[in-house]
Amino acid sequence: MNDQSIYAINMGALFEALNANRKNNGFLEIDNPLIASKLGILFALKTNGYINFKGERVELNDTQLIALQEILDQHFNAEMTHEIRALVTMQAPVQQNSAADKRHRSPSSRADNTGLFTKIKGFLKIKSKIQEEPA
Amino acid sequence: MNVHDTHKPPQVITTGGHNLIGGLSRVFHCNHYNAYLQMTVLMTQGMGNHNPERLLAESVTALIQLLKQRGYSEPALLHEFSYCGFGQLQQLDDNTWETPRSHYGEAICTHAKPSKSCYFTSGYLQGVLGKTVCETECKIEGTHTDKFAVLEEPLNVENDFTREFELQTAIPERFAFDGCHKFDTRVDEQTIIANFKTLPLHGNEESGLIEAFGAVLTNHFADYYNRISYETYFALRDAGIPEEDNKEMFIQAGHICAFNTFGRIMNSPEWYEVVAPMCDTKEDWLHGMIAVINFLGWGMYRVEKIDAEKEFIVRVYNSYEGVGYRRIYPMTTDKNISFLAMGAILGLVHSLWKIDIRDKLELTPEFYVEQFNNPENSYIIEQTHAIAAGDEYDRFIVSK
Repeated sequence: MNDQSIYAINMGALFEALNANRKNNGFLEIDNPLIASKLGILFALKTNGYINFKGERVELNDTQLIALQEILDQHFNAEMTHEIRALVTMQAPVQQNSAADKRHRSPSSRADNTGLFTKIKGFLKIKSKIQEEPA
Repeated sequence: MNVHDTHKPPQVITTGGHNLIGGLSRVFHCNHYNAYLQMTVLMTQGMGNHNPERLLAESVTALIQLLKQRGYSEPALLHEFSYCGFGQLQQLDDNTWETPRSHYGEAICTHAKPSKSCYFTSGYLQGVLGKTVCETECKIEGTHTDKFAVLEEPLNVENDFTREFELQTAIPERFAFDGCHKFDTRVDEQTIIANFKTLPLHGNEESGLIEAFGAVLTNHFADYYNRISYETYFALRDAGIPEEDNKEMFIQAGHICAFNTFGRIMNSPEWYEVVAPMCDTKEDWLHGMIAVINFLGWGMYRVEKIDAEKEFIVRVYNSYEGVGYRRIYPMTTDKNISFLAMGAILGLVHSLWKIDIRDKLELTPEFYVEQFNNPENSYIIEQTHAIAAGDEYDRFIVSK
């Protein structure tokens, strides 16, 4: 068994820092909903685990934090090591039994789906009911 | 060898809302859409067997191979590359080609670090030459031209466009179909289309680029978009990406397209000369822009309902996404599947009822982020009917 550090990041602050970084380097700002969707997809592809970046905050372990930094660097052209260091707050360590546990741990399930989430609204209206016929 | 000036313009046949060149549907799209869509496709880099770089290149290789089977010569294909706005292809020696100017080499980088971006051009050359081609230099990385090496590796690209699906010919006239609400408008769609057809929307003789309405356009292969979009969508879905995030990326591409292309068209001198004089209300502007869309080769758009307080409904007959889907894949049960049309129609409503494009707003990227795409006062969209799911037409409802 080993201790696994957990880092919390406020998503609103991360989006703001990302766009500030891009702006400082002469790049265009990106919408928060787009950053969140893109991060969710890229993170899932890179780590084999989905995290909902539309929540108010996310909690990541060391490996996931590095993955996030790499994604921001490669796909958003933003080298964010210093900003992320300033943004994360460390949570109490959790004990993990194996590498498999780490891989399947799902911090996304603990993402806070209130606050920012309500402000990040998608375009798609998905309904489960039977589609209506035209009038 | 520069063959741009040695051939006549290709013949364009317009039928059922499609513009066919060499029998293949072509659609006008801008650099903003192309850049965003390519970025979305490339997000799947490093994903098991899914290879987005090959997808971006080989999807056009297959189409060029089809054109060759239909009798296209190498010079005709090179000429068409320029005519359709992809740039100027020049052969430097037996194994090297370059594009001094190119759509994908100049206007395609979005968000990520600058990297070689001319997958389309590599794939096009592969089809022309029947050999594997890879990009060795790209203007996006700071070089003077894009360069391509012709390799001896065998080329093995399969044709995915094997299913038969005919375009619908019995498309109802505007405002003349069951369920259509009554409209009172002076907007004359046929006059608008006839006027826009006279614009020189083909590659400039010097650059091979189509610069119009303040954007850079391409007269692109509809089924290129279809294949790269749906293959990426399926790959992301199979990787467990939630449907909402997955579709959002593609719908956003259409929304960006609406902002940049529709917005710039509605700000253009051509619009103010031809369309604006027919318009008294916002509703007229929507009818006017729908008329322009019906010139772009995207299918035949028909407005069913405008209720600014409640909802907007648009049908699309022969939507290029629906038709393309049926030509590449088995029928689906998913009705929310015509992503470009969803984003474009939503963006059109946003252009008039979220912002007001009639105020001749400056369409900057900052304005897109801060106003146009701001969640405040946004509408949402739902597709209720889909050609891809066996319906007669695509149908979209935009609501608050």
